[in-house]
Amino acid sequence: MKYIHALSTLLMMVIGVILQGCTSHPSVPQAFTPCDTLPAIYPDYTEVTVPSNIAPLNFMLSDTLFDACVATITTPDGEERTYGEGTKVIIPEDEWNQILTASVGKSMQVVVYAGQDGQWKRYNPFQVHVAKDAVDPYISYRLIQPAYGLYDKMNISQRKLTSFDESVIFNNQVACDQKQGQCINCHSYQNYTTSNMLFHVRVTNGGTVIVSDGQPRKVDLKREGLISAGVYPAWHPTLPLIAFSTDKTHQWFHTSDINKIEVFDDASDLILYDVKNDKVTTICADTTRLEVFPTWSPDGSCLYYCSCTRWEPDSTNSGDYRLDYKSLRYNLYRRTFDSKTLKFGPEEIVYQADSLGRSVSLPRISPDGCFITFAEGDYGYFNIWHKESDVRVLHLPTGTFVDTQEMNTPLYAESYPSFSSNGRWIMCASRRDDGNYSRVYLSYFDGKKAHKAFLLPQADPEHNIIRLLSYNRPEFMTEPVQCTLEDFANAVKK
Amino acid sequence: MLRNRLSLILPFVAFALFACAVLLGYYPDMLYTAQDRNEFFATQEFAQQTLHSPFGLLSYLGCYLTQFFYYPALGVGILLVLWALIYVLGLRLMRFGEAELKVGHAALALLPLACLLASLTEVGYWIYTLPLRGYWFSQTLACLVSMLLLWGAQATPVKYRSLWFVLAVIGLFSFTGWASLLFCLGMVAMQLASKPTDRMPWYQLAGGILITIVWPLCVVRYLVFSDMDFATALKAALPYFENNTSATLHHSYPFMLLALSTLLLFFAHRIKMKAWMLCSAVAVVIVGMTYLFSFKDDNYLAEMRMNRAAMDDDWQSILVEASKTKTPSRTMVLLKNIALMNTGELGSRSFALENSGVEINNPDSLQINSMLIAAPMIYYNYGKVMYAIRWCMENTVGHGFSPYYLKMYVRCALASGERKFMNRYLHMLGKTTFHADWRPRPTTPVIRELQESFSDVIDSDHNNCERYLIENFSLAAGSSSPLVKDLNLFYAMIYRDPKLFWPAFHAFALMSKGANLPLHYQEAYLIMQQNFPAQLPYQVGITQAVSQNYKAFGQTIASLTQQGMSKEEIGAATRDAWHHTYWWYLMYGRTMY
Repeated sequence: MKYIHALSTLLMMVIGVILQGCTSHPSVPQAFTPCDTLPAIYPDYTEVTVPSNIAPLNFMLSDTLFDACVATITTPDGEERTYGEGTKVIIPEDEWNQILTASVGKSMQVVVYAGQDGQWKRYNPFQVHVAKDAVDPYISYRLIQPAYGLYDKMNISQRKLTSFDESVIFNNQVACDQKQGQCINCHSYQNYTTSNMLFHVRVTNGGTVIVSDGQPRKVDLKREGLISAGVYPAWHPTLPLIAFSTDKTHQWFHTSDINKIEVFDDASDLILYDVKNDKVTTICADTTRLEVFPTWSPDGSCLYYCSCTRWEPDSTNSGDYRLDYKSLRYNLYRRTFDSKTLKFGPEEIVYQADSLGRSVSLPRISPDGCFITFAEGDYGYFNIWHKESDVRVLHLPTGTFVDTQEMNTPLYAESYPSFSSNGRWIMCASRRDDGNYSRVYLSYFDGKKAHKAFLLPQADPEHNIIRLLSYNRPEFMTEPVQCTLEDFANAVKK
Repeated sequence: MLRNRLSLILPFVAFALFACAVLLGYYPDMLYTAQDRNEFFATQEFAQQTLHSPFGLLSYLGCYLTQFFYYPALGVGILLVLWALIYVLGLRLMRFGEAELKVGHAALALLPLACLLASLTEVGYWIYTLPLRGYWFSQTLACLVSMLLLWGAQATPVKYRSLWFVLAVIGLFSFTGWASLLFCLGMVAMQLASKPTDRMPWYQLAGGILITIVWPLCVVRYLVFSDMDFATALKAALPYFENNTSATLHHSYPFMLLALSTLLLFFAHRIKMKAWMLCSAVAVVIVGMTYLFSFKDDNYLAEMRMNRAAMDDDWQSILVEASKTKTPSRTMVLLKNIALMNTGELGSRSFALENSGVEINNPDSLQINSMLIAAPMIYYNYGKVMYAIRWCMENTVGHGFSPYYLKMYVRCALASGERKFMNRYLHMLGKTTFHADWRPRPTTPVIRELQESFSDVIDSDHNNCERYLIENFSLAAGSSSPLVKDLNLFYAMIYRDPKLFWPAFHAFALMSKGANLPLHYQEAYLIMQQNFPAQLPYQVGITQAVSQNYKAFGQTIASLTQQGMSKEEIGAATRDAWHHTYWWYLMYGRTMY
C-alpha cells in the first residue's frame, strides 16, 4: 500500500502540475444575450452557504444544451477571476483558497455565460456565501451500488473536505472469499475521532471490527438470547461503551411505487457493549416494541432512540405485514444513563411522531445538546428509500422545529443527517439527484434554520453523475482513520 | 521469394476465412450480445476501476475493443488483424527462413490462433456473467503481448536476453497478467530449442524463472494489489472462469493448449513432415478443436436474437424466431408470449408456438436462468417496471453496466416517470462508443395499460420471474382492463387450476360479447368443461374444427392408454401431432416453474 501511495502521490503531483499549467482562464464573452434566470448549473451551487475550508465548488452546464461555459467569480475585494473548460468550471485549489479567504463571512458573486455554436447567454449572477464556520476536515461514507439483495464490490472511504482526496478505509475484497462475498457496513466513530471506531463485516469472516485506542480487533456480538449481533451502533461520547440495536430485518419490493423497496424489522432491541470487558448487557428488550437507532447525548447522560409498537395481527389489520407496513411508525424516545452504574433510566418520549402520521429514524444530537436532527417520513424507518423523507431538526429545550425546508427536497428522500463537531453543518444523504443514487449534501445550520444544501464538491463535477455508486452513512470526522487497510484486513481475518 | 511469401500468407488467409465463417456465419448474434453485455465507459473512473487488477490494462483494452462487435464484422476484422500479428510473430519465433524450416511449418503458427478462436466460441452462457472483463479481446491481446516479448528476447543478444524478464515480469505483470507468465514458459522453450551458442547462461534463466514466480506473488500480496484478496487477485491474472456460484477449468483448456502450441513453435524445426501432411494435420486440429470446444445450441443464439428484437419492440421478429423451434428455452417462451401479448395473439397462437420450454443446455456448473438472460426485459414488458429496475440493479452489481442494462434502465425510468434517473443512464450511454445516440422507444400502450391496471403492493419474486408472473396474472381476476383479462385467462390456463380458470374465462367471454373466442381459449373451454364442468349463463361458440380436433385428440389418448402406455410415453408419442394444442400442454406439458 505504501508503494501505491507513493506512486499515486507522485502521479497526482505530476497531474497536478500539468493541470496547473492547463488551468483555463478564458476571456469573458463580449457579445451575449442576457437571460433573466439563474443558470442551471450542476451541482446547484446557486445561493448556497459553504464552509470557509471547503474544496472548490466545481460545476458544469448540460453538455446536451451547451458546448461552452465561462464563469466569472468576483470576491468582496473586487477581484475577478474567470474559469471555463468546455462546459465545466474547474477551479484550481490554490486559487479557490484565495477566493474563500477573501470571501469569509461575506459572499462571492458568480456570473455564468453559456455558449452554444458561438452564441452566448449571460445568466443572472448568483451569490455563494462563505460562512465563518469551518466544517470538519474529513467525512467517511460507504460506497455501494444501490442494489437490493445482491452486492459485489463495496468500500468504506474517507474524503478530505478541504480537497478532493479520497481514500479507502476498508473494502470487501481484501479479506473475503469471492464465492461467499462479504458485506461491510455501519462505520461509526466515538465523538468524531477515529482512535475508537467500528464497522461490521458480514458473511465471510463476519464480526464487528472495533478499534479501541487505535487497535483493531474483531468481536462477535451475537450473544446468547439476542435477536441478532449488534446492528446500528452508537459510541458513548467519552466511555468505551457502544449502544447497538439488534434487529431481525426483512425486505420486500414494490411493484409500482418508485420507492422500490421496503425494509422493516420484525423484532428489535437495544444492547450495550462494554468494549474493555467484552460484555453485552440489554438496554431494552420489550417483545411488544421495536427499538432501533440509538444515539447518545453529547455529555453521555442520555440515550436517544426510535421505537414503535411491534406489529401484531389483530382485527384492525389484514394480518399481513405486506399490506400493513405503512402502519409502523416510530417515535423518538430517550433514557437517562448513569455512567457510574451503567444503568439506564425509564423511557420518556421526546417526539411523538406517530400522532402526526409520521415516523422518525436515525436521530443525532448537536454537540451543544440543544438540537436533535433525524429523518422523518410517513412510515417505517428505511427513509432513504422513502421519497417523502426529510431531515428535520428539533430544538430540544422548547420542543419546536427549526426551519429545514431549504435543505430538503419535496420529491426525493433525505436521510441519515448528522451534525458537524462544531454544530454548524448538517450533512445528509439525499437521493435528489435522480431518486436512486444517494449523494452527500451539506447544509449550513445557524441555530435558526438549515440553509440550502449543497452537493459534496468533486474535482470533476461530472463525477457526481458517472459514479454509479451510492454514498451511504456519511459521517463527520475531525481526523482521518489511523488504521491502515492492512490493519483492518488482519483483524478481519483473525 | 514472392512465392515463398505467398505460401506463408496463404495458411493465415485460409484460417481467416474459416474464422469468419465460424464467427460471422454461426455466432454473429453472440458477438453482438458480447458487446451488449460488455461494460465500457470512456471515463477516468472506469479506467481506474478496470486497471486495478493484475490483468487490468489488457482487460481495459479488451473492454474497449469488445464494443466493436456492435458491428460483428468490424469486431471480427479487428480480431483478425491482431491474429495476423500473432501469426507473423509466431513465424518469427520459429525462426522462419533461417534453416531447416519448410513452408508447411508455417501452418503451426496457426495453432495459437485456433486456441483463441476456440476460447471465443466456447463461452456459452458465461456470456451473461463473464468474470473476466473484456474477455473477447483481452486474451488475444495477452497472447500478442507474450509473443512480442518473446520476439524481442529472441532478437536480443544472448548476454542481454535475461533483461527481458525484468520488463516482462517486473514491468508488465501488473498490467498483463498471464501474458508475462507465458513469456517465461516461452523463454524456457527458447532456451531448450536453441543451439548451445545461442543460449543464455542457465543461472540467468533460473533467475528469470525465480522472478516469474516471486514477483507476481509480491505484487499481489504486498505491493500493487494488497487491497484485494490474495487468491482472487492471483486468479484475476489467469484465464479462469469463476463467479460466486460456479468455477470451471473447462474454459481454461484452450489457454493451456495455447501455451503448448506457443511453446511448440520453438521446436517446429524438429518436426520432419511433408508440407502437405503438416498442413493437413494442422487443418484437422483447427477444425476439430473448433468443433469440440464450440458451444453449439440454437436456443442460446435464438434467445439473443429475441432479446435484441425485444429491445426494438420488434414483435414479428420474435415470433419468426419462436416459430423456428419446437423446443424453445423458458426465456424464449416468455419473450414469445410478450410478443403475442403485443400482437394480440396470445389466445390464438401461444400454444402453437410451444409453452413447455426446455431447460437451458448448460454443459458446466454455471447456474444460469431467465433472471440473468432477460428478466428486466420480461418484467418491463409485463408492466412490472419496479421489478425490471430491481433486476437491472441486481444484475449490474455483478456483471457491469453494459449497454443492455443501461438501455433497460432508461426504458424503465421513462415508463416510471423518473426522468432524472433516465438522464443519468443516457449520460452513461453517451460514454460508450456505439450507443451514445441511442434513445428509448416510447413506452408502449400495452405497458401503460398493465402499469395502470395494478395497484402497488410489496412482495417478492423469490428470484423466479416466470413463476411470479404466472401467479401474478392468474390471480388477477376482476380487472377492467381487456389486456389483463386476456393475461388472466392465459395464465390461469398455464396454471392449470380450474378455480382460477373459470372466473377468468367467464370475464373474458363476457368481454368478447359472443365473438368467436381465440383458438386456445376454445380448446381450454372444451377440456375444462369436460373435466371440471362449470355452469355458464351463455353459449360458448366453439368452431367445428376445434370440436373435431378435440374428439380426435381424446380418441388418440384413449387408444394409447388402452395399449398400456404410461402418461410420459403418451406425452412423448403425441407430442409431434398435438403439441400445438392446449390439451397437450395441459396433460403433458411442463408443470414445474
